[in-house]
Amino acid sequence: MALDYLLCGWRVRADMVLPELPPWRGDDRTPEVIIRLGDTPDRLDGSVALSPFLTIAGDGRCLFSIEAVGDFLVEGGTNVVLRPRGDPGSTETRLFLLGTVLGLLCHQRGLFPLHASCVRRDGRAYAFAGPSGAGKSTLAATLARSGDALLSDDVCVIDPGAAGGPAVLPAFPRVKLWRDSLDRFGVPADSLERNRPDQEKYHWRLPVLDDQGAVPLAAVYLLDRAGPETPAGLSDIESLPARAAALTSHVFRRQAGEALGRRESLFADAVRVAAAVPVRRLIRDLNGADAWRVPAALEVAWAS
Amino acid sequence: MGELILIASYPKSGNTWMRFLLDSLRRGGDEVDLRRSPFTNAAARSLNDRRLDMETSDLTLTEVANARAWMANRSSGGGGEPAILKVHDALLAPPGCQPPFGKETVRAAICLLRDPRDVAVSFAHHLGESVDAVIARMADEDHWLSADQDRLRPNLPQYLSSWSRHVTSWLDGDLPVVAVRYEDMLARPEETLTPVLAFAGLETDVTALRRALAATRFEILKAQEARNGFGERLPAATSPFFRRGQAGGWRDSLTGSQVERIVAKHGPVMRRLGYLD
Repeated sequence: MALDYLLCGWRVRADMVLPELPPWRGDDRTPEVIIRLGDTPDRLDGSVALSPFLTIAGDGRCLFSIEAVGDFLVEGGTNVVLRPRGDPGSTETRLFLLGTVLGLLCHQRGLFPLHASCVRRDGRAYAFAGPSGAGKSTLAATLARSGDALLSDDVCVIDPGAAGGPAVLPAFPRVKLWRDSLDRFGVPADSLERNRPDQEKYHWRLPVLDDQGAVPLAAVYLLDRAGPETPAGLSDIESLPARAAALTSHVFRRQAGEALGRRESLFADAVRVAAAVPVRRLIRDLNGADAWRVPAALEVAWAS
Repeated sequence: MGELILIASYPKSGNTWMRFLLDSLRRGGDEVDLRRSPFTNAAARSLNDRRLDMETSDLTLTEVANARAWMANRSSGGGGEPAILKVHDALLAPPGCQPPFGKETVRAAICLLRDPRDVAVSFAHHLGESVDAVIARMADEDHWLSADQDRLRPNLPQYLSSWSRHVTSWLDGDLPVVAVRYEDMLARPEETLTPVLAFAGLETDVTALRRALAATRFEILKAQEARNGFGERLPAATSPFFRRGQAGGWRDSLTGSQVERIVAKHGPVMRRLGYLD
């Protein structure tokens, strides 16, 4: 029996329980996204392999496979069919469903997804983009613990053409953290679900958002670790082309988006967002206790 | 014809020296700067996440290992010069997985070798572990680097196996390989390196080579590390990364029983490489 949920403003009908998402309590529209269990083709004709896991066909259909989890066929920004090999209700199934598959849906729907965590403070959204290890999840969790609402952890879905300027469509308030970070937050890792069976990385669900509406994007921070050539600090990227290029480089599943024919429109979206919103570099020394504190430079910037 | 040149070695066998030397060479023998470490590790997470368009931190050990060859295939520069990558992986398929590199990708592998007795001493300082613990690591045929799943590591898991299996995997493997002993680089650098560079298609003139050797002398690298630190030194290390830079230092550092254990396990390969004459 299918259940209806709210994700990024969509009504999502799913054949499995998705505890990360709030139940749908909106109008009686037809579901915008339908996730069902069923058969998928073994391969897509005329497709290009972007990785050992993802192939994309000329007609825009995507086939994403993880051996232990199953095959996801993602089509038209609407339909997801999962042929499961594991338990379809498992944490690792939802990891990929609400990660890569969500990213593919965004590209198929013409949205602008960033690989970024995102919080809402005083009605405005602040996104933190960066590579693995830059501290996106830890920073988002730190901010959420001090009162900000968590809008996303991995996939920050931006609608660049929203009335009033680029806006973030809330995903769900779950962070993936390693045990050492959870220890710092005083959260017992053993009470949480593991990301993958052999990892000390866990899914920590924070309180559900009271208000699920789109949130105007206030700033994008590009996170990175301090090093010999990059001292800690907060700095603006001054030129519009540089900001747009930086945003483009942090698009979630960028190569998949380009394979779906979106290279020009993703760049146009990046320009649109960069024109409306400051893009700043936030470099942090993550070796000490500062990794779990809100950077002073950020607090100062937000206070003014 | 592949597009990659691999600088392959068991850890602590001269890989860093070779990479800075090649870096200087490609700039005509100019100075090097330890703060700009040349030639990424083929197992660097950021490189592989970009190639895969996915976060490797969401993949299991097996999934990552099985994707390595595919990711290496995408690491070649694409036109122009071949990409040069540092490699610590053994040229072996980890249990239940694919090997990390294929013939179609790799133009040449420069395989660096060093007396395992010196490797043991150096590795112990590097890891901040006892020599006995390191001798056990070097003997372990199931040994991996960076495979613990307790936190995010900057490099992906690399299957080393034992020192002996690691060495023979490269020397007897399927890839075009030229072997270089660290001890020969120290004793007779020009004579040792000239054919190695030719094999890898990195020919250069003798003036540039001499300048590059001068620019990467141990004392120079050691002094730079003392001034600015060095990113490849681990937090737990019990000495600077550039510690002694000599051959045969093991005689001062290993006990008789430690030497016996190393030779008992690795004797055949040591003999093959000329370390037991």
